[in-house]
Amino acid sequence: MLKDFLALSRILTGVENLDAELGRQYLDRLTSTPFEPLLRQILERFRGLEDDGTLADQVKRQILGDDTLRPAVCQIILLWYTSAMQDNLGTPGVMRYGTQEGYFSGLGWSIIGAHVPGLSGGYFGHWRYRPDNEPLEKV
Amino acid sequence: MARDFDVVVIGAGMAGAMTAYRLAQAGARVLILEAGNRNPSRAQMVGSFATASAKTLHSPYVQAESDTKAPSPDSSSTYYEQPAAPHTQYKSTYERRTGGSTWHWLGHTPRMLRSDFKMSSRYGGGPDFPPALVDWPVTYDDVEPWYCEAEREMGVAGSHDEWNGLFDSPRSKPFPMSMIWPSYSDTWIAGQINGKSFEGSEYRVRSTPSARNSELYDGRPPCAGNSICVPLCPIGAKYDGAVHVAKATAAGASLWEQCVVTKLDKDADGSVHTVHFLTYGGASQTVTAEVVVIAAHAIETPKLLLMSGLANMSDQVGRNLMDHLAKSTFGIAPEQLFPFRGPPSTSGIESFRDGDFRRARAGFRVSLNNDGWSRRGAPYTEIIDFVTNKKLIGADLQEALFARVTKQLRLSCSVEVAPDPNNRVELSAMTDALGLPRPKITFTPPQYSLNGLAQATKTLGDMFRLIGATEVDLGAANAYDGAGHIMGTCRMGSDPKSSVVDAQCRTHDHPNLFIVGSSVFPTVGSPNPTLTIAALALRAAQDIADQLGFKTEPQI
Repeated sequence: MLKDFLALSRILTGVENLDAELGRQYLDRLTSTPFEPLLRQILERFRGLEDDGTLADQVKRQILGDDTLRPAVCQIILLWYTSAMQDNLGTPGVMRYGTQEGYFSGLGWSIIGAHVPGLSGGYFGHWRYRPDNEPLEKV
Repeated sequence: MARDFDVVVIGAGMAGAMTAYRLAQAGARVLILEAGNRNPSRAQMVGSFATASAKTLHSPYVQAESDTKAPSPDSSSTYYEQPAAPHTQYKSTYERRTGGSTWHWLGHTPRMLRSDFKMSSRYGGGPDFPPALVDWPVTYDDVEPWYCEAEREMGVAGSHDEWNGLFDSPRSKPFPMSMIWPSYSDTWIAGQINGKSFEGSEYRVRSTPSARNSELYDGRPPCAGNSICVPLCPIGAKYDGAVHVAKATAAGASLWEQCVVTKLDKDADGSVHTVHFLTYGGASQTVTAEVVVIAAHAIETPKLLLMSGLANMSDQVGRNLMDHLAKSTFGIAPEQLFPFRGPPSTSGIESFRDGDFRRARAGFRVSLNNDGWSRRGAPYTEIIDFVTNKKLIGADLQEALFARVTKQLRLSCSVEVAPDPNNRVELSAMTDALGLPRPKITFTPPQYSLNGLAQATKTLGDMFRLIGATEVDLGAANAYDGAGHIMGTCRMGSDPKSSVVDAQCRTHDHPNLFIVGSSVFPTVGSPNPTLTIAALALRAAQDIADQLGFKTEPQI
């Protein structure tokens, strides 16, 4: 299940190098909530897709394109980008976080040329310049 | 009669700690009583913040026992008694813990202006000028050397050239550190608006002085731009009151935490020597001192005085509660500004703080902010929108997020609130876990300040226009947030009939009872108050030392 979850997550996030341990944490969080049936459907459908070089397009059509599944797809991406889970799928509102490791590993901050709030990893004054993590490929 | 201590300071926030430090340095036997307790390690607090569901001001500081026994309001609807939302009008909160609310302040330290100390004589008399907008009993020149001293004690980074002489308010010394660097966004905005004017006032972007290290200072590291000064600096580059708590105890002061002061007793001669407090276990204890200093900010200080029936011959205790009216406005810049990096705000515009317009409306500061639309849920909101509604994933999602979020801009204002005796802190019939009254808050923003807020909103709209921003949202008319600047309630003045403390922060009614902190402000201008709090506390400490007969080294 983790292997499929990671493979799907790479397509959803656009990030190749995903941390497997974080993936396990996120999978555990997803399967321990009412969100679990939707996740099961998503992964079943993903396993049924043919890896013929058009996998990303198939995910868009057959998983993202499904109005029932799309909020759950969003939740998977939100986890990888911010480590947050929504109380109500598909609407901004209360967010729940998991581990500190997850919070500080949120991928979305680099994607917007920033850093996770609380951990810049930078030097005094770096905010004066354009970010050096600007290009997406450097995520 | 021998007392337990020379001085008891009630409250281990910045004002109390700085006062205690100076008096302990002078050789006084000092006790600090603190209702809250000390924090866990900074790393633990950062972890608490990281995993907190709602990343509120109080989120790093949650502790079951102190939150029950010495509660801190984490929103305008907790702890205070005041009308429930949406009718709540007083919106600022504070921390009751060792180091106080400076744990979660932004760190900005602009000074008050010369005219801020002389509002009535300079602008008063007209029909739109609030009668309570009085002169202070001290002038800018009286306080200026203490501003320098406060900047040295706290460690303030700033640009002398940018700030010297602002509105006839000269600086006698340079800042201890060079300025916090402006953000990429600040520099770009300055390029768009500097030299242009709005209704006669010229835009000029200045770096904001901040008690945040731009270099190694006082054993603390330079800022690394971790972006969460509010609610917690992860590395201690930003000053907080715990710095001076440590200095005070190192100088010999005692610190008793988890001691909630309940009452002060007055002797037959009017002096105040006896302090009653409760421990978290409920034990009632007493301590005595030659001088008592209340440093419990502008809500707990009047609460304690009202509980004790002291210092209120003027009927001014608890009255003239103030804040700044804060408003955030939003727009999308025509090019990438790269928010979510660096301190949340590094520059501002001071041009609208003073002028003849203050006969009829309040002055204000403008802040340029580096936090995008985080107050509207960014980037979470955008992620959800782009996936759920625009059906984007992978590289398409990344590109869309980058294109959108990097252009987000928040401009904000902080508007002077005029004093009004009807805006006040009283004792609620509702009690906390120790059975003590909670604060009852009554607050309505004065029309003078709402006039200022309207002008500030127009100004922000003009700035967005000059910048070429789109999707501009200036918010609803008269809508505002709290600035976290709780001020007033024990106003300073020369006349005992109309004020609580004199120019030395000594209560008119009790010669050995002092009050330090923002509660003594009779008016507030538009700057963040903390530097003025520090300056007045240092000045008061000198007077207390003199009164007690301790010789102090000249600090200025």
